[in-house]
Amino acid sequence: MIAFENIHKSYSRQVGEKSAHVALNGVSFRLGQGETLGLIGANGAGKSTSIRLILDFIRPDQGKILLFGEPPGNPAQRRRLGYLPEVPSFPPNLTCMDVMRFAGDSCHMNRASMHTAAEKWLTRLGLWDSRKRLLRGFSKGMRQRASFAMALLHDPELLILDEPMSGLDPIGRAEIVDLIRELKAEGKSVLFCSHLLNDVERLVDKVIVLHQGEALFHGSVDELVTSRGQSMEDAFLGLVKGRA
Amino acid sequence: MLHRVIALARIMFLDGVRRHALIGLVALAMAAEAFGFLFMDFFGRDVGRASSDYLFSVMWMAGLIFLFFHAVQVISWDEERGAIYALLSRPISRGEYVLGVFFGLAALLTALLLLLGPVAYLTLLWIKQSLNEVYFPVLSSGHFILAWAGLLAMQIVILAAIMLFSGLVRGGFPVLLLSASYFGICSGLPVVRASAAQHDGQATNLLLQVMTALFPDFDRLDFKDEVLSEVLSLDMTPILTNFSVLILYICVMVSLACWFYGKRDLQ
Amino acid sequence: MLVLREKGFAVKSALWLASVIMAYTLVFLLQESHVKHAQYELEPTLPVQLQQASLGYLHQLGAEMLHIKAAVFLGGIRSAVAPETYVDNLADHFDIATTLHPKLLDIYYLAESSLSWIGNDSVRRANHVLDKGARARPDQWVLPFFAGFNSFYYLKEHDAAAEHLQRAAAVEGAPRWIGHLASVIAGRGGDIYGGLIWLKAMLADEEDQEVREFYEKDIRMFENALTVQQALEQYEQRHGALPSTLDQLVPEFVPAIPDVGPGFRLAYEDQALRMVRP
Repeated sequence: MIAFENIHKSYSRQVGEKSAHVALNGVSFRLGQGETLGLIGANGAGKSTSIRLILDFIRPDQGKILLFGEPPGNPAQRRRLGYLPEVPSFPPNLTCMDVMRFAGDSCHMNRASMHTAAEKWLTRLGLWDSRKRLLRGFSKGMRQRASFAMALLHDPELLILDEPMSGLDPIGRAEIVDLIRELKAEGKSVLFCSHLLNDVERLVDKVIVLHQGEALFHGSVDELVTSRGQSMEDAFLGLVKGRA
Repeated sequence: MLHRVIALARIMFLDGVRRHALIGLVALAMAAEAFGFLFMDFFGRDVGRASSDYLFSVMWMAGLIFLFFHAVQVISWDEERGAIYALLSRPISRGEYVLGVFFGLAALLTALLLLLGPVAYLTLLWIKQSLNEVYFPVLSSGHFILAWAGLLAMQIVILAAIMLFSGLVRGGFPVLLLSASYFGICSGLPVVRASAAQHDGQATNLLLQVMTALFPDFDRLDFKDEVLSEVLSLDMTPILTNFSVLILYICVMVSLACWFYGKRDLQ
Repeated sequence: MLVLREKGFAVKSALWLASVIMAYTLVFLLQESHVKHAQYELEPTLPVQLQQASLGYLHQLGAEMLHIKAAVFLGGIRSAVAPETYVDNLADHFDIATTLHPKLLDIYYLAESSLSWIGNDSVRRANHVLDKGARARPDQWVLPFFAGFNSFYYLKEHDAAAEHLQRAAAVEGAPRWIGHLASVIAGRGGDIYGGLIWLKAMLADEEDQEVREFYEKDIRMFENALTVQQALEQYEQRHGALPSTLDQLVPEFVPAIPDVGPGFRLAYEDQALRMVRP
């Protein structure tokens, strides 16, 4: 699904800074079909940069990225993936159904199947009654769920979820965890990025730990836990402190 | 590709149409047009001409307000708020995104002028009927439509330039500065050219001609003086040539915008 | 206690607001008392190229604003104000307004009514503006008519006046008497040939018999005058200079100075033969 090979990425030097900011320094990982990969790290570790590189929002300085076996520049590939951004945002004067319709049109879904899928996912995510409200009136959690519905509308094979639990209350978080488990059971591949290590531990098969643009660990969750400490959190902290 | 561009244009259009600021702009412009009869009180003879100039000026200024206060910021708003990620995570290329934004904004601008145009025409008709024929002898609907189409074409050229600058630089304010500078050059260049034609040499005139290809002369599509002319007696060949040049210019500008935006990192 | 403290804060805020507003009012009134409103000044306008470049599509509206500005200014002048204090500025406004929007008639009417009576310089500026109007609005006979009137009445330039009036007469829909007036003024200016040619042209176009007879009568008068004009030219050829009086032409170059008719008499002024009203 995803091949991320020896990727280097720096952001150009801003006014007042001494040097360019290195976001990724030789990071590599792979995500196979049906697998779930967790991308964890502190703020500024390079998680969002990795995701943006996969989605062709930014381009690497060095290295190779393959998405479904091709470089990610072809927009047609994105018909097979669904993306949930860290901060869900839409043009504010649209309704939820406007966004669903756009999502369906962009994937060449016919009107009937788009409506069916929209009803399914909006109902599942508790937004069906609010589908005609303007998005600017939505809370953060509602926008998060609307964004999730948009990502799932076209039944993608690959899901890229950037902080999917962000902004949700405990009940909402539990619902999303259940949903991700179901999607995983359906055979979807998931690239999952989160600060909440408990959720990562519950949901992913493999994990990659990033710190200051470098990959400190890439393997299964069990390997990380047994090699480093009693819990995921201890293991993560041990890796980061050891690096520091 | 067309399907995706239309889908994006549709949401740009819907977002704009529901914006309170734009609704207010439409209301204010229509009120300004409807009160054109107050402006005509200052003129004792050429009332029709002064009223027509005023109404077209209202449409022009409404369009410019839309362009310089809304259109310049659309792409930067999407980037700053992060909506761009939701949009470009769909199977939409950068070029299709730029085209979608352009056509969405062009549709908004056209809708604005489609609302203001008939109000202007009806106002002129009302003024004409309330005056002696001497003060307002002719109101040509054909010329009115031509002047309206010229105004719309000019504003879509400015919109195309805004798209190019939005593709080149980040942030709404830099795009506004570049667009305002572009507009100023387009307005001033014909004056410089007219002056240089009388005094300066061939090299200067050639340079100014090349600059006119980059910064089009809007006077070539300004037909509001003809609204009070008799039958449609204008030579259509130069008019069609001018419209064709502008359409091709728009295609070049938007194509460049798509190309530049495709090369940029989204940050 | 808390309620009292809140009330105290509200009273303090109200007192502060009232004192700030009062202070502002007092200072504003003081400022106003020092301001002398210059009611009779018309501020100079920007150069025309700058206005053309900055206004762009709105250049016609800019011209209309200049017209309104001039009209409002003229409407507020008191009779004691000397026109020399504002005439140049005013003429600039009309000049620039007609460059920005040559087709708007009202500017020309206002220019004519406000500039022509002040002095010769302002009349010339008015005529310069009216010439622009005549080119931009060839359908309007009144603009060259105004220029002709100014040339005749204020500037005493009869040749120029005749030329303006001939242009006015050529406009479709112009009153027929303008052409006749052009001929008369041409004659008054010493251009007998020009006046005669114009009369003959009008005769050729005229279908009304009564008017034709009127033109034919004038043509006979001009033809009589023309014999004297031709005699003057022959005298000049023979002697190298024009005579000092018409009597010097008799009998060698003309048998007698003709009586040109009841409407005119011949006058020899500044070495030019003129047909003047008795």
